[in-house]
Amino acid sequence: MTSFKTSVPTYFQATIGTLFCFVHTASDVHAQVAARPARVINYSAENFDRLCFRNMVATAARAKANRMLQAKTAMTDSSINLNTEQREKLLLAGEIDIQRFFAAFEQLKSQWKFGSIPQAVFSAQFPKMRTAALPLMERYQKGLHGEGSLYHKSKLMILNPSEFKATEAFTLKRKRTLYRNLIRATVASLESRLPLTMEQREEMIKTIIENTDPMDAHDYNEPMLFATLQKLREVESKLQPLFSEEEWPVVQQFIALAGLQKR
Amino acid sequence: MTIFSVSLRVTTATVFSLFATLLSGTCNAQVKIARGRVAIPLAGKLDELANRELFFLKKVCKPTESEYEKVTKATRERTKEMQKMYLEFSKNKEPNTWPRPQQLLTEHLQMVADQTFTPNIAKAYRTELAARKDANIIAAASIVTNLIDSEVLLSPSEMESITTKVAKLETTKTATLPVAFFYKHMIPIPSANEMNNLLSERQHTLWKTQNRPRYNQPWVNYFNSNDFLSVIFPPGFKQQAEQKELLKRNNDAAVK
Repeated sequence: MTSFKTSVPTYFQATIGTLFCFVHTASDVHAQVAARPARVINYSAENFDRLCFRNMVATAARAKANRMLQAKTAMTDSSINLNTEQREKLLLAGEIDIQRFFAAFEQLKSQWKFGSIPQAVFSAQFPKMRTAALPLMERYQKGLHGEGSLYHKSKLMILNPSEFKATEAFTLKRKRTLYRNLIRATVASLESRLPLTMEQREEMIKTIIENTDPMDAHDYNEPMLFATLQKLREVESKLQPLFSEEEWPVVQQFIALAGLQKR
Repeated sequence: MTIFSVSLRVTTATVFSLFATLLSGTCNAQVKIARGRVAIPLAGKLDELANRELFFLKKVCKPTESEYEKVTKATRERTKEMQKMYLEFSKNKEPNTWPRPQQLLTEHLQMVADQTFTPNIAKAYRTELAARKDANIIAAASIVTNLIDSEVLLSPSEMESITTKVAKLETTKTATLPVAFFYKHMIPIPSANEMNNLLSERQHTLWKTQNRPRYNQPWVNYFNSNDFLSVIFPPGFKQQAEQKELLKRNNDAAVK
């Protein structure tokens, strides 16, 4: 309450100041009375970029993709020591992936009208726009250089089988470590409602990890719990013996939260 | 157009701006109030916490009926004291400075366990509590590691090393509420200085170039950290008291 009371004079002063700033001269008051314009929505191309790239403009998203390509190649390099030619070829393939992706993005973007759009048009356009953009949004979030990319195919061509196997094993190990970390957090979330003993905790993490496939890179803009709860569903029958009759309904309620996921 | 014919007119924009100014002023004020107010120490939340911890104690210590009665009675008393204390804090202390109820309660239960059970059982209970605390910190550090990886890419060995280092940071230790596992802006990202010690030069350059939401957990505490999990109650805690009943109990405690 105190903070409101003390701030009232400040806001009053600010209001009076603003009032003076906006009071202006007009030669004819009546001329100012105009018909109410149709409502328009200002939706710029930048707004669309931000929708697709989690609040980044396309140029920033592209720069990030380039940086991730460099980082991915540096990581491959650290696992098998690429020679200069291999490194350059991989980078080139990765750049082509980025170019292809952003060409597809620009093509999609060109289908829509931006700027001041009548509200009715915008209301009809926006859901279609979002649905059309969804596959690209997901592809970007997953990373542009995974399986199916030219980068991945080039790796298959450039590297000898043992090198390729080594990079794949490295990637899988990374994926497993990230997955284990997510599972740890999921179990800790459950523990905020149902504290576990050391044995239960250890067994639960082990059961999930050993009986489910590790997930792809998680989009941390989404509540991460929902992504892993689906995995718990897959092993519900294996988890049940770890809990008492009293505890199990709580675990089930926890797993059922997966249903709250938006999509 | 002479100066006399000029008429002053407050345009629609002025009205809007006036409205917006007043509104933003009011909203800011409300947000300031809300940050103090949202941490309402509802007795129900403490009861729920006590039930959860008692259930855990029962699971680990397997008390006899009389032992459990003794522990329960002492815990109910402690919960009432805590309720009074938090009500006082809600009047004059920022929510982020309140002591953690879970810590206070488990400290109390450890003491009661020492007095009630054999040394071996009491020790086992302490060990379990310590393990849970560690697991919680490791979970928070693991999520920080995953977030860092999503922006700079880490090798598996780097992930392990970063998790260990991050687990030692104060930001991680104090951010073990479940909200840390839900939202990006609640993940306790280490400070820029700390990041310098965690990443290689290449990774650090990459880290610095990326935008991320401002870490927003420090003002959250047990009482205002409602999340998806709030609908799940501990075993034996069948029904939450009605809101009116909870408020009445809070008022009663305040009057006493």
